[in-house]
Amino acid sequence: MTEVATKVAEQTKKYQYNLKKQMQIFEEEFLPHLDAMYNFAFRLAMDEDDAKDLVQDTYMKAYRFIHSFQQGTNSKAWLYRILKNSFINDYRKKSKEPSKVDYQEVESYYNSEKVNDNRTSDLRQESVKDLIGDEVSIALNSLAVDFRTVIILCDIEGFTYEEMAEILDIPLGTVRSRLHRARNLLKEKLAGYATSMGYKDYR
Amino acid sequence: MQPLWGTKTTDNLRNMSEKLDSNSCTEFDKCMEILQLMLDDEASEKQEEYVNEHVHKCMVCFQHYEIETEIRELIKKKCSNLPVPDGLATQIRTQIQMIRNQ
Repeated sequence: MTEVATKVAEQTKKYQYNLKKQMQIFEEEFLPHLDAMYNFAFRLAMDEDDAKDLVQDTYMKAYRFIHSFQQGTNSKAWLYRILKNSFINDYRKKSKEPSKVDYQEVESYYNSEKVNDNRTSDLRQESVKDLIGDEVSIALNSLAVDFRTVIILCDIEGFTYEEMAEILDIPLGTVRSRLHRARNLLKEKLAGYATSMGYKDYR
Repeated sequence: MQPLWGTKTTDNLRNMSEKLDSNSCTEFDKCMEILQLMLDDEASEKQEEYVNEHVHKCMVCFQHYEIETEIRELIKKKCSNLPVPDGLATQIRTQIQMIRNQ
């Protein structure tokens, strides 16, 4: 069996836990990630109430599907996957703000050719010196959710590319290209802020 | 207000001449691609060796190396650690209890 096939087989396998065991898993393997989960939810939903609801939903689902979780495996990645799917399926739809990009379009475009757009994001001497740190956060929040997500998972949560592929249900190559594109977009934003501030200072 | 870039980097960047842009390095794209992997802990030993060697002799890529590193540090510092709302854990436990009693 291939590695992927093995994984799928493992994921659909049911594990039998009695009530005591269920509570133990919930308390010891799920709840310790509450802090990280809330922060991830907030970064996705960008609203405190939505983030709270999203986290609660995620934990409810995690409990309902506890029999498909193998004790002792990567519970954090497992929970993130549930949260991300909940967000996409339930929250994004009702969000007032329409999705900023047609994702399919973006993905196929950027996957079609090797991404060679590093040059557009040059941050230069005169443009970077007055940027303040909070702008990184603002820039990150302004990215389309798919791009925002890969940066959060990679830089803030420190997931490996393989874990990210699992959480997001996308191939490893797509993780790489999406991350690359996301980083360049972020740098473009930062360069933009820096330039506009630069005009004020140097004119 | 904290400057985005450390003083050292800012000075480095300030002293850099205009012509030191990415076009002056023929391996720029390759280097940037591997640099990303390296900073994400996903590069092979050989790839890391390449970047380390290259940035020692290439000012353009060295400059980008520092920028990439700083952006990652800033993201980590500025974009996490929101406190969890009071009582969220308790609410979740209560809801689980309700599911169990159904």
